[in-house]
Amino acid sequence: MYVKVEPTGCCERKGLVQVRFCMYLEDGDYGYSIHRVQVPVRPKEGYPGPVDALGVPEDPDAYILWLESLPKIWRTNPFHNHFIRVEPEISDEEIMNIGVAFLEEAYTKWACDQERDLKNPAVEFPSSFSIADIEAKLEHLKTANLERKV
Amino acid sequence: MAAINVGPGYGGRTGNAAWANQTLIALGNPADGTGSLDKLGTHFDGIHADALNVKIGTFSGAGTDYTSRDFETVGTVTAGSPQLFSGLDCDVVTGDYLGILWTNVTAYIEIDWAGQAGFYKKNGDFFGGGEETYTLQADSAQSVYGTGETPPEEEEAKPHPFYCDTRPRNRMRFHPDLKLG
Repeated sequence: MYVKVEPTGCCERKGLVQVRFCMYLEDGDYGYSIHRVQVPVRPKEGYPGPVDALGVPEDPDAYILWLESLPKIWRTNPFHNHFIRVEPEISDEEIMNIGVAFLEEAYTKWACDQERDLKNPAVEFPSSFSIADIEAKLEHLKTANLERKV
Repeated sequence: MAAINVGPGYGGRTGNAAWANQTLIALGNPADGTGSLDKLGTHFDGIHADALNVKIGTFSGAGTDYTSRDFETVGTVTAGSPQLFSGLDCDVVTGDYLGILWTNVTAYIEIDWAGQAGFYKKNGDFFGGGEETYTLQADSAQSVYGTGETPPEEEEAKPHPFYCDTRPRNRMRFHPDLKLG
């Protein structure tokens, strides 16, 4: 199993850096097949049929037929996602140490069919903060590709 | 602390719908407590695309008018299986409803079209905004759910184990609960 930082879920939240972890199972892990899904491979140009002003296909049935005609691939979705809030000065290693700790807790509960009730320690939100520091950290997280395998 | 839950549930449903770029407020299962939601869940249909820029949060209101209370920026939600997010901190008050929004028309949320409480919808992102008027989508429910806890009650101050009796005889007395020996 492994844990990755998901940049799309990282943002400024109450003066701290919100970091999102996506946790994945691997073949052999308990419950691996539950989040193993088959998804269509969508072409870059998208749906060729008529769409309305919002981009929604005008003929839903034709759209479904087109989707079903696309080649499929197997993909592993996260079995759990967890958020933390940290100061922008935190290192990548510290972030991933936290991620691994939560991954292990999440998997332990997952494998015992328990509620994945992961709790963060109490955080004191700052009364003032540097948005520049937070934005710099968020930019870094977009390209750092932080991932750790357990 | 008491558990809070809100929203119609985040498992798979019988259908799906492309309500992208619309703020959807689920009427099913209003919040049963006041505190913070630390877990949110949703489910997008797997034949369609992953949902982008997902926000989930709480709304107060009645009738057709609702106001955003708090929300979480979840990010991309992978389609094809229920997704649960923990570690969150979304304010909630008893009676609040749960709302969701995503931005790509290629993502379809799991939905039941009949026999449900319904939801309100409005084109646009109204998370973090003021009161808005919404349109009812009756009998339907989308896959969205949240759980959390009410904050612990403050403990009552316990009496000191002994106190000085200031009555004229100035006799020291012990609290009846104090165990001696």
